[in-house]
Amino acid sequence: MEARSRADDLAFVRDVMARAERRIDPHAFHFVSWGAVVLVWYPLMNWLEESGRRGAMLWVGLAALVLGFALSGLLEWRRTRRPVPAAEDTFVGRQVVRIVAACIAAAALLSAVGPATQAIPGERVPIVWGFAYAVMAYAVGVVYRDEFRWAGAFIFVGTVAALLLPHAQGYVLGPVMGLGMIVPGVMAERRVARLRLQEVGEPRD
Amino acid sequence: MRADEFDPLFLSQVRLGIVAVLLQRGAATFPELKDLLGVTQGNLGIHLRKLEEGGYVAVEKEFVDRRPRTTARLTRAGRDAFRRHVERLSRLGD
Repeated sequence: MEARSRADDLAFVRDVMARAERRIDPHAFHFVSWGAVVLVWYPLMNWLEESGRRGAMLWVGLAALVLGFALSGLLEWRRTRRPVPAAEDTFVGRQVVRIVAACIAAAALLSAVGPATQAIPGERVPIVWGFAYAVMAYAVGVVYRDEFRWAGAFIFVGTVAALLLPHAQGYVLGPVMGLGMIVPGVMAERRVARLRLQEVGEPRD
Repeated sequence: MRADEFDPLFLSQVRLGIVAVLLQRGAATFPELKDLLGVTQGNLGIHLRKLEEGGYVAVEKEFVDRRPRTTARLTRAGRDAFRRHVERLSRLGD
């Protein structure tokens, strides 16, 4: 096969694929931070409702949202301070952003319109978010990595269970949605950190 | 093409690289491919066209913020051909 050796071709393919992978950063810290917030928030809401402290639920909800946005904003700011390799803003990265934006927007809209039109009872809004997280994780898994697909299936099953257990909805949804976001998110963040480190240690083309 | 022959479309390392990137990412824009493979715009365009003519790659052109953007995606035929090619390379390398 001409002067170039087969070993050269195989090494070239491996090198190109490794370089192509390391430019993907799905900003998975958002999954980790929101997963952590939901992990505590939903069970706490369930407990407040059970103990008859409904007045505190609104404030806890607001505090959780503020904390989630603050964490996401802080981590995004930290991310902008890291060196950005050329061509990091990839097609896959943009797809992940679009999937997350579409799922969050749909869930937020349903959370507002559903109770207002009495199509969805207010106390069942977390179920909407459970399904939104499930679809979001699964779709991210389709374009990025399989662990997100498994997480999506896990969250979906957990949300169906929460649907069948209305009195324990928060106790089920919190851990399912939290872990379903944190585990693949941490895996993705560790992969990005490792690949970035390798790139820093390599000579430029 | 006989079973023991190499796919002529993969005899160029640039075309091999394009398909390797697309296999990894699913799709990539023209500037991303250019940057990752370290080739000139003209060279990349020629090889991309050959892969498109062979049915291994689908190329989409669109306008984003009034600027043209070319995105290449790997087709099923391209994916299968690349896997066969790499398997053949690995087998002969043993």
